[in-house]
Amino acid sequence: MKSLYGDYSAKGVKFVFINSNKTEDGTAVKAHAATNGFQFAVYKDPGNIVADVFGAEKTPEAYVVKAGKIVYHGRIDDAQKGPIKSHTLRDALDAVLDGGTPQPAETNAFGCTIKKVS
Amino acid sequence: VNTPSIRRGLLLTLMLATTAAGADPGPLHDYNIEQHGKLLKQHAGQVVLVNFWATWCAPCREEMPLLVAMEKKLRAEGLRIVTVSADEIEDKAQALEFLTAMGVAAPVYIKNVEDDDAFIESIDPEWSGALPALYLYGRDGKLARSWVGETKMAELEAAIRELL
Repeated sequence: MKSLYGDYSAKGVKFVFINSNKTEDGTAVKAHAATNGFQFAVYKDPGNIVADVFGAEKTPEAYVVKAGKIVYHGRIDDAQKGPIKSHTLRDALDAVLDGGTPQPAETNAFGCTIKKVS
Repeated sequence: VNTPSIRRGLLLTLMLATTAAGADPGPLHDYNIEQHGKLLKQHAGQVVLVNFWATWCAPCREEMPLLVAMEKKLRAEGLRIVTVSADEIEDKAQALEFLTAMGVAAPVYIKNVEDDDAFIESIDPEWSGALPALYLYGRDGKLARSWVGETKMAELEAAIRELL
């Protein structure tokens, strides 16, 4: 997240980081951001309203929006913590910045379900 | 001091402790697209619940003891629960340690695939890979129902009993 933000903010991409887990309150989110040295804001989504609008169901889950339209939805990359072989979100952002369309526009990955209010 | 007697006592205590902790999961086998098909054939005639989980997934860890209890309750009637860890293969030892602590019965698996996306798609084209995920197969090996995320155990048990 940090390297993506650093590399692509400079190219004009606006990032919005959102935490929708009901089990993590604002204080916990703030502490996590401080511990990890995030240089960007992380928004809290009480009641998982934003997650529901997007249809997000797990973390992490990325959406690339261009002119109000979702052009990419899916994983950040193909690694949980090992070496990254496929920089899927970077490829999607590069495609959009080049005026094209991400291929694939939809990807899957293992992730933990967002703990939502019932 | 009667040493053999103490040894027997210790052995008995150890055996009781092992029984209380639950079953031995045995080795953690590799799981891939082909293995999923083989597994359903191997368990033909039984109701199979495949549980996809990971050590880094808190709801997965919370759900595991409930699934262990479910299998103990319904095993004699023909239920088999098969767990498949979505951890990286490098975290195999960590996954097995958790399964052992939970007393999960064999067989236990860990996904070992080149392409997670293709693996997820092969299990269920509608699945995004969100964990925990439960896939319930009938005695005929056909998918009956699936759940993603926190699952109500009463609802799960009712669905299993319909197939038993």
